Amino acid sequence: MWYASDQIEDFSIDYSQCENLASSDFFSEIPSNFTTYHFKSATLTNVPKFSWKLANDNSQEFEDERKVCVVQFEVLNNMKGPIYFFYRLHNFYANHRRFVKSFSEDQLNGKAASLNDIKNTVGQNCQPLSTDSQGRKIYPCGLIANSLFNDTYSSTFQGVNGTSHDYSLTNKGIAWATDKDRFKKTKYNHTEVVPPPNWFKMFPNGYNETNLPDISTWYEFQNWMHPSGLPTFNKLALRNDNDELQAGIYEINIGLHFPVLPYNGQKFIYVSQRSVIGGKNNFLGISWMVGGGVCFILGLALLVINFIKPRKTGDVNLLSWNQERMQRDEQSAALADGTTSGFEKRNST
Amino acid sequence: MSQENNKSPFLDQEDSFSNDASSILPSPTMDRFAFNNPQNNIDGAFTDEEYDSVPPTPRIDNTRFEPINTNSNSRKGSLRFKLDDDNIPSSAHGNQKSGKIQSPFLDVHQVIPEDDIFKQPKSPFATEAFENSFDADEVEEDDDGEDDDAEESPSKTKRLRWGTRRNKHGRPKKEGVGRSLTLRRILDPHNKRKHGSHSLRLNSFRKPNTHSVDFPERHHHEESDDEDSNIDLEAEDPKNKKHQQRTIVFNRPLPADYVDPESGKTIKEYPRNKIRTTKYTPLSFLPKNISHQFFHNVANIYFLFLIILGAFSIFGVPSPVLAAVPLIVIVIITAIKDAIEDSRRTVTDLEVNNQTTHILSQINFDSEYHYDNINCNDSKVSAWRRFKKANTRLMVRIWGASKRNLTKEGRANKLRQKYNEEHNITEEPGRRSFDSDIIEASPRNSVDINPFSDDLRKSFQQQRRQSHKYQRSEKTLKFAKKYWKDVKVGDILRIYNNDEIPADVVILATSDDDNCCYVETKNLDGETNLKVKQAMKYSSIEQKITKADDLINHSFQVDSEGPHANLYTYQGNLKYDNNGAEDAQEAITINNLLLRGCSLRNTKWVIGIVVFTGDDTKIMLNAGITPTKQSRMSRELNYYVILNFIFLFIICFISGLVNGIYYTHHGTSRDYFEFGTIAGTPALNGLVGFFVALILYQSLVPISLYITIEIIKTAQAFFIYSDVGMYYPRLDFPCTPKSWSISDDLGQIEYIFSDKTGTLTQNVMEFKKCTINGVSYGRAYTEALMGLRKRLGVDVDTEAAVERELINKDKLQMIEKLHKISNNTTYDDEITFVSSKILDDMLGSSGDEQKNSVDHFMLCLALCHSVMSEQDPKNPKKLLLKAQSPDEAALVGTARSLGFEFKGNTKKGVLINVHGVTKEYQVLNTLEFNSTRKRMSSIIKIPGSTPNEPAKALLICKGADSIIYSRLSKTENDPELLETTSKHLEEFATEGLRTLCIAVRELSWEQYTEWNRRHQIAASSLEDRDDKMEVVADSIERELTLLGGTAIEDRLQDGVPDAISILAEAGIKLWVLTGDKVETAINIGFSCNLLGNEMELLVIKTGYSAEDTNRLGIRFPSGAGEQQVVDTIITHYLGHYFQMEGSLEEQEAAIGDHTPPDERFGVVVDGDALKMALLNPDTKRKFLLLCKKCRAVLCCRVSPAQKAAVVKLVKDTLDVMTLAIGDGSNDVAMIQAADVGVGIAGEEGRQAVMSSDYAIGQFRFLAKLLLTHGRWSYLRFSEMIPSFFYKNVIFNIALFWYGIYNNFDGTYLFEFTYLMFYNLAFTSLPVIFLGIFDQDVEAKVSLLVPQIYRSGILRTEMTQAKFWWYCIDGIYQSAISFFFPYLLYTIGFAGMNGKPVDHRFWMGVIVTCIACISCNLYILFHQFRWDWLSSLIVAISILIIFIWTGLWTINTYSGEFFKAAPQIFGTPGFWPTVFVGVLCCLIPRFFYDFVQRIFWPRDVDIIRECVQRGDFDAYPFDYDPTDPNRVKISAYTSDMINRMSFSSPRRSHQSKKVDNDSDEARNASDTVYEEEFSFSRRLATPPPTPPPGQSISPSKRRSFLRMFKKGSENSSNTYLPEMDSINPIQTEEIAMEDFSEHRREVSRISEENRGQHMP
Repeated sequence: MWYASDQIEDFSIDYSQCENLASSDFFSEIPSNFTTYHFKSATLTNVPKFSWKLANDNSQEFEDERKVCVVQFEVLNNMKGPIYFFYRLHNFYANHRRFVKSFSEDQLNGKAASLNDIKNTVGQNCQPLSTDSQGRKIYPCGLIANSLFNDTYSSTFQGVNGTSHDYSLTNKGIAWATDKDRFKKTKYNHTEVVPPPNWFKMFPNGYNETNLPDISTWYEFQNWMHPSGLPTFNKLALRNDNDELQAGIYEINIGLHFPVLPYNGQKFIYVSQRSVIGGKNNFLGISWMVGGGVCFILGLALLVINFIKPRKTGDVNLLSWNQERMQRDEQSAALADGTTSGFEKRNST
Repeated sequence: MSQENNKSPFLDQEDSFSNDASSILPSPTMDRFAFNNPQNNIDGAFTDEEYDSVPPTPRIDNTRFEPINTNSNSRKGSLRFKLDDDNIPSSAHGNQKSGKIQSPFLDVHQVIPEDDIFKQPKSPFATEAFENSFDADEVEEDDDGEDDDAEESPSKTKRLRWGTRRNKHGRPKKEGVGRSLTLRRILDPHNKRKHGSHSLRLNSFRKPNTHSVDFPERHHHEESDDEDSNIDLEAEDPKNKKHQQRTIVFNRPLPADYVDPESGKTIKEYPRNKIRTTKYTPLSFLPKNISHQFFHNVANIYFLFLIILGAFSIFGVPSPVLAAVPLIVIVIITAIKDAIEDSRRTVTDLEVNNQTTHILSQINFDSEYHYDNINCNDSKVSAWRRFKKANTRLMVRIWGASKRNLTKEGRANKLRQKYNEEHNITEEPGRRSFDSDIIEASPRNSVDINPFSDDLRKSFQQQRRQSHKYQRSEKTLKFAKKYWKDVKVGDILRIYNNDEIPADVVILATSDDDNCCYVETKNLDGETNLKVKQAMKYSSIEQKITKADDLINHSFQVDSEGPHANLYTYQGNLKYDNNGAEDAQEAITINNLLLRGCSLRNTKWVIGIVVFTGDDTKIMLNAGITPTKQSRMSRELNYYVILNFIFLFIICFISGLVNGIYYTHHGTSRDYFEFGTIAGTPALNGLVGFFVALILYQSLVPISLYITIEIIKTAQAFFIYSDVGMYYPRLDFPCTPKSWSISDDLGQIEYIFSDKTGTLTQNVMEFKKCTINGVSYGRAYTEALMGLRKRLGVDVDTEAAVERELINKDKLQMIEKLHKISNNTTYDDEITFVSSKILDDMLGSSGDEQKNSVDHFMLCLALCHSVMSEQDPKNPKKLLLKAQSPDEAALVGTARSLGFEFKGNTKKGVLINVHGVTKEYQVLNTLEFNSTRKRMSSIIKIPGSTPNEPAKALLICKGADSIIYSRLSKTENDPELLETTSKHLEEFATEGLRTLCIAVRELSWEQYTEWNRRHQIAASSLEDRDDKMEVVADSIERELTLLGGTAIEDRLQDGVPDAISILAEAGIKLWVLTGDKVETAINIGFSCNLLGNEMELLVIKTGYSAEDTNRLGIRFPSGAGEQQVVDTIITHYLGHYFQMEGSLEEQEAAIGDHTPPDERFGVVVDGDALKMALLNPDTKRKFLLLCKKCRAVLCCRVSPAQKAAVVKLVKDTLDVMTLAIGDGSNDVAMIQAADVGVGIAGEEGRQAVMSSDYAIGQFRFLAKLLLTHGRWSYLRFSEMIPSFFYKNVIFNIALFWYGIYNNFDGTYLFEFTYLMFYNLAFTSLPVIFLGIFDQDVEAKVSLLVPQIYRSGILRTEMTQAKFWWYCIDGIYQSAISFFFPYLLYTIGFAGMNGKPVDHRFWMGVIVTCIACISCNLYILFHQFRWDWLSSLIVAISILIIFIWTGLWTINTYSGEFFKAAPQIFGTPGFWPTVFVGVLCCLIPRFFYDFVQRIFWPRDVDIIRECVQRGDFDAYPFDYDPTDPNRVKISAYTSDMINRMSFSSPRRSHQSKKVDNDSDEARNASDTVYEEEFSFSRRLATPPPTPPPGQSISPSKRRSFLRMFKKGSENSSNTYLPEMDSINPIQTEEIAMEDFSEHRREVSRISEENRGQHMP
């Protein structure tokens, strides 16, 4: 397992500081503490290059949403598919008790849940984000949906700097196929509902007939609605199951929308292969080796001790009452040897 | 006289205390006086001074004894064989007021002038005597001669017995404690505790963490105090409604104040006779049960509180409804359990309430006469009751309808009915079967099979015939058959033979000619003997009521005291029409009252008027319940639960704190995405966080622990109940656990307190020897003698065999000779008394004098008794003797088998068949036996040999030797005879026989008549009759002439010596507390292995002779009181033998010291000395320390209260577990005081059984109960309880670890169904099955190696350290369970396809899997018994997690959790994580266990290895070493056991001898044994393949071994001739074989004997 894990090639880039550190004019190297990588061909000298540039996407309606981080990364050697492209969030607590239950299962299931349903359902409800200030139902309501990770990734690794071929990825199959049974197109009329407050920039004018989101095919949303149990987590954004990612330098555009810096969070992109035990994870291999080793050593130790100083099976002399008796016998023998105690003396008189 | 008596004695006392000598009725001074000095002369009581001091209220009982008690004499204790002046009653010292009159015949004050009697025609006795005089025999008339004696002449045996009438003096000692607790419902021994009215119930309270009942200290000082305090406290008792007097009328109007002036109906309401012992009714069940569960169980309140908290969404409970499921489940299970318990009681109640009785009612309404019971206002039925009734009716109808229509049977019945209707067939009402069904099914009668059931049928038939007759003659009234519940106050009832009395009834008339009836009070006081009750004279003599219509002409009124609980007093007054003149009246006493719960016996019918019904009846007022005991482990459990709570609060506090601090930070993701906080300020958030954590970690306190324990205990109780090894076939009695909750206590018992009679002994009396006229007869070899001889170093086994042979031979001779005298062979096989010599003497071989003496002696035995005879249903020729005590039956039976055959009672006396000649002896009086008198007498009329010669009376008195000796005449007896007889008696006592003396006194007729007059006056006195009677009897039982003595053997029960030695080996100390004499007790002690040969007996008594003091080398301070003497002697013993001072420090040191006591010493304490020893705390401590140091402790002649006091002393001071075992009502106090009370279902009723926690049939079952079941229970619980905590720790602390990653915000890592099912399904079964089924060694091994029980005594299995280690282990494992999945998630992605599986619930699945699997395996590892069941259970529990996850997530109902199962189980990282997680969880503990077992084995581990090796294979699985009929086990295995208990030198010697191949012996330790094994087998079994001595390869040897093992199942009794030493067990078993053969023969005989004693 350790070997399998070790075979996996991956790299991650923390682009949270992109908007502060990257130049908007040229590609600058990403500080090495923002990147990790594991390539077979990587050596001390042969290190992959990671660089970034801050660009603007003027198609965005709002000015503060126009920043795009262009990241260039070098793939040192060919990576066999499937290749998974994750985004990773760090220090994002999607596991607070009020957060995790702030969604409406009914809405997700496509039902036109009533205000009461989304507000007062026992166990999980959309509080405190059930309605907007005018009392209109939010769809999808709740804290989880509101906090949807909304950075955008170009779905192609564009070959640059001499790399001639692009590598395209897809968001098909990033969510569980079975989720389509749970996430269904809503039966709400667009007039009934408003988008969550954080989605304002996505839907500046609220919903209309055409833009009411269809969550049954919105895989990113489905994934997001599986809040992670830990404050650091990877979520699959794009994948390519078949093609090999050839060595070269690629570029990816990331639309920066999701804030992490205010709360010391980090966001990464993470590209990885997989192995028979899943993602790269040395823990399993190590724990098995350690566990087995401990068992072996203990067993060996016992065996050795048993050879050196064995105990007879079923030795009745070791029974506590027999030991007591022996002790008593010894004592009385010692007494009989002439050291008559006062007790005996008195007794005999 | 009559004028005076018109006033109710309640209203005005002073009148009754006039100086008229005949109105002695209410004088309480009698009480006082006689109490103070029971042996005093009666005349002292009648001084004016005494009268004046009487306060004018009848309730002076409360105070009047107090000043006297302090100086009341202590009982003189020791056995006296010489005439003791002090003890001669007439000269008894005391506070006599007037001059003493020495002769009993001269106490003129007592004599009532005949005139007075004549003037009182209504005086019942005078009338009786008057009437009787006409019935008297002609002979008698002749004999009587003088006229003035005529009306006095006692022509009938007076059945006025005070022995059977119990009042506070009649039963002075025994009842101090036990009495109030005597009555308990039969089927619900551990239910609600109706707070009984008895003083002791008030005084006894339960301390919070103990189950002791506190007996007031003074009970130990003076038994007499008990009585006083009872009276004292009764007044304060809310249940005592003694002052609510009631008047009941018959055929006359009610007093004005009873009548409602408007309606003219009575305003009085009495409780209904319908009783309800159930806690709930169907209607009240739900609210009552649920409120009960919540108010009495703190844990439930806690969980309820949390559930309510969870309903508020701020605490983030995902599903408050489902969170309530565990609690709901538990509440429902408990409710079901309660319902089942209660429904059983309901059935019993129904049976009781629907028993039938016959109530007077009018059938012919045409007549002028109109009868109606106006005493009770039954028109007012409350709305609530009507509602209830309606409900009941509805329920019954629904039930009936559903039964008719829904069941097969019902439908069939319906069809049949239809058919019958069509064909006009009426079904014969199954009257008899109905009745008998009720009676047989009734719990009260369930104790023994009713031998009278045939009579029952007869009586009913008779009654039917009668009713036919009366119908013809237009009868107006009739005793109609109705239910018990219909009985009302004032109803007239007719009760038939063997019926139970439905209410407290004043007897108006009985079928008996002398207007007596017999009742059995087993249900009330546990005594099986019959008691006599007397009808009211008014209604039975003057105008005897025999049929219903007789009552038309009667009108009377009963003024009764209010209901109270004292069973032995009742005061009432019957006023009746005196031929139109003013009302006459007659006092009603307890002797005229039939109490509910008694059964009528030997009397055809009784007519009576109901005075108390339902809850007012004495049995109900007395109904008390055995204090519910809580096992030590349950008490400790509370402690652990509290620790757990503390732990819980700590982690909750941490959670809340961290959470609160977190909310003070800003700049977290929360600020941006969570839109505010729940509670606003951080502090409030922290507070909320605390409660969130409380809800989150709530199951750290195991909600299901209590219910699990209940389940396990129930199962264990069931196992105990169904163990055939403890089933006593003779009584059809399995070991019955009465309280189910203390089975684990059985495994920790260190002290057993045992009664002797009926417990160690069978209470089957066999007449063995006697001494007549200085000649000793009889041959016997008793077990006590065996013990005695053993002590002397004689080979008892051979001796016993020889002796038995001789006895048998002698017996044959004797029977032969017996047939010479008479050819009656009916009772030959009943002979227990073997002496051909006595027959020789009866034939005159030793001269006429001896012949006469023997004949006289035997005749006396046949005459002086209170036995009744009854025909043996099996053998019509044979008569069964029914006696109050088995001793008496033995005496009469022996006389019978020697040709002095008691044929039965007649009206006047008894029929005796002497060698074929039947004679009637007129018994003039019988002075009954009771425990204070310790003697009984009969006065026989001896007609003059010629008509002219006046008749004489012969008083025959038999009693305890000390009593009789002190009453012997100084002049009449030959001192030499006294000397020899007393010597013989002492010899008999040494052989462990019970001795009695027989003496006679001849009275002249004048003497007799004079005495009889006084006797009658005493008998007819209405107050303090018993004391007066006693004084009168005392006056005649003097100046006796000794005839001889008898010796009766009280046989040891089966297997008692074995059981005792096994228990002793197990480290259990047995103390015998008996009411018997010191000598008897010591001998029993010897014969049952309790005392050893080399033992030095330290005797503690109150008086020491000079010789004693010299021998002991101590000097008592001059003028020392008894207490000082006792203190001195105890201090002496302590200092001399144990170098102890009895200081407090030593006592401190003694607590927790469980070392076996010194084998060399035994303590014997006399009752008086014990009383003294317990008086002073210093002495008490010293006494305890002394006893603790000695191997055997015998307390002789102790009272029930003392028994309880000793038990409490040990229990409370030494902090040990105690067990008390006994069979009689005198053991009840002890049984209740001990941690575990065991009752033996013996011959003496079921009193002890009723109040016990476990009821067994024989003493020897105790070994199995303790060593096997108790030990198992203890081990199981000591494993199960920490495991339970552990499994909750592992799961909940994992949640805590998760808190690190969510700021302790209280998010659930687990899906809520997991939370719910973790305790209910995932992990509960292995723990429960561990608790139910686990056993480290088999039952037989725990009996064969009793030493392993010691771990329970030392309490090594369940310690705090163990608890903590389990918790720490749980924390460690929870860390593994959480952090392994965490590590799986934290680095990369977990799934194969990168899809999200990092949801907390998905993570929770892994955590749960690791936690549950390791938890279940952990429990499996700690289970000793690995069989398919436990493996299956563990497998199921593990699988259930996967199955549930799969099923639950299959649909979107599971919401977020949808499809989690395929996703997480399909994740490749899941399985290796779970595997390595479980591995890491279990490694440390497994390693520890393994190392401990290999290198530091406990005793059990070694024994288990021995078992594995097959050391015990030869024993059958149900081998019980205490069973006399057990399979004999071969020498080899006995040798094995020997090696178990003998130390190495012997063993190594053997192995050297046996094993030729010494190399191998050194290499593999097993080889030695295998070699031996095959060697010994070779000697025993047909040609073994390789000759012995050749070296065989180990593998080959093993296969031989296996072969032999198979063989050994069949082969038995193999000997090892070459054994170098004699094997004690082997010889013992041969002897036992012999013995049991003999035993079987004996038991056959005694069984038949027993059949007679059992009514």
